[in-house]
Amino acid sequence: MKVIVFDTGPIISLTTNNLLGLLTNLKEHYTGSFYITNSIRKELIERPLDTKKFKFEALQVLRCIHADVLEVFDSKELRKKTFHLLDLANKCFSCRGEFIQIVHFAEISGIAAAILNNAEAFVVDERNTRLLIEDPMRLKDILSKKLHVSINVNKKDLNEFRDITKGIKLIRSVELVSVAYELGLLDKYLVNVPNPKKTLLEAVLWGVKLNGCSVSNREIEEIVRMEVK
Amino acid sequence: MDEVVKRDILRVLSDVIGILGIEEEKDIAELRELSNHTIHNASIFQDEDSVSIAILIYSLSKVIERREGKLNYKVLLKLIIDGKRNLESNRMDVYRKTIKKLFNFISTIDNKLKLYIEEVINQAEIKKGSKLYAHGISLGRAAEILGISQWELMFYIGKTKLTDIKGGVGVKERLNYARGLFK
Repeated sequence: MKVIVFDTGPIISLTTNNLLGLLTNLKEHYTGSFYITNSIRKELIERPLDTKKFKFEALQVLRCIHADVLEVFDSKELRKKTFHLLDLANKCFSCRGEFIQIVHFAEISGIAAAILNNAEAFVVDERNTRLLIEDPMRLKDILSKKLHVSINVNKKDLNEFRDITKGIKLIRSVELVSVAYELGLLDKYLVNVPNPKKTLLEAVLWGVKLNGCSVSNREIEEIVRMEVK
Repeated sequence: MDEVVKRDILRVLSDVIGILGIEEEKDIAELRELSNHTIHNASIFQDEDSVSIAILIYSLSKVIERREGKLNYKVLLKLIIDGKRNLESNRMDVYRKTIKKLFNFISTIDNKLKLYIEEVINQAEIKKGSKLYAHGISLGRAAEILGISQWELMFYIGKTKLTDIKGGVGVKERLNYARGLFK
């Protein structure tokens, strides 16, 4: 069965842009399932339900789960794999005699779920987890530059982590909304303004960026150039 | 407490004592700058002491800014000097209680400001969380260290330049791949 796994971030950026409904529409164009893990579900729902902020947004996500648009994946094997990957990821870099704990259980559980389900993609909006998989040396440079210290790379653990995660394809919420735009799923927002298509695309791309999706201004310009010819 | 962390916190507390020793307009900027330094240890060691000192100093700068010179530095200074003395003498429990007292003091400065102060501390946590993210710590881990939700942190980060960084796969390749998933 085909699967796409979602991290916490893309669900947050879609929800805070009032675009969570796009998942239902996108699923109609996808012959498979959308998964989140149990720890990602906790981050998305249980925590905000305990506080005053983002409570309503959490309810919207919960509704999405109840409607089976998002399915919660959990297993003993997932937890085992997550612990193993978490241990590797958080031992990749060190400085001043300490391993730098870069990632969190929930994020890694998403990666582990993607591996176990041979997922077609892992949707992740935040920069550092993405760099750890795609360009760990860039992440090392960021750590070194920002912390003003020399960072040691534990090649053994990093290579094992890279080896396990090498097949994972990463996409972000910007790519999801771009595809939704191409499929006409946002057409109801085409209104009487100059350049309505371009305006709509820019609006949703900037919307997800301003709600935390890691995408550069130049990348947004590039998407707009590719989509609106 | 790690020796490196202890040494750095002692240095930070000395700096705070120096800054608050004489009431000046530049106190706010100096405290904010100092709070940025403390986040380096919070990124590496991710311990409660480094994190709480970073939040405390940033909150202090905001409270001083808000109170526009009407804040009694003497009480603050006494607590900070006590904290430093306890840390120097390795009385960790007493040191941590003093830091808690400082947070309580900030929270009760003015009843009318209570809501504002709670917001200041919450904002300080989010701000420091975003700094951890800027330093290369993942969003989830940064939120966990600061005890805040990823919703709050993501919402804040989106309004900064932290999302504007290159690296990894190019946008064209990523979009082409995403396109192929949906029919």
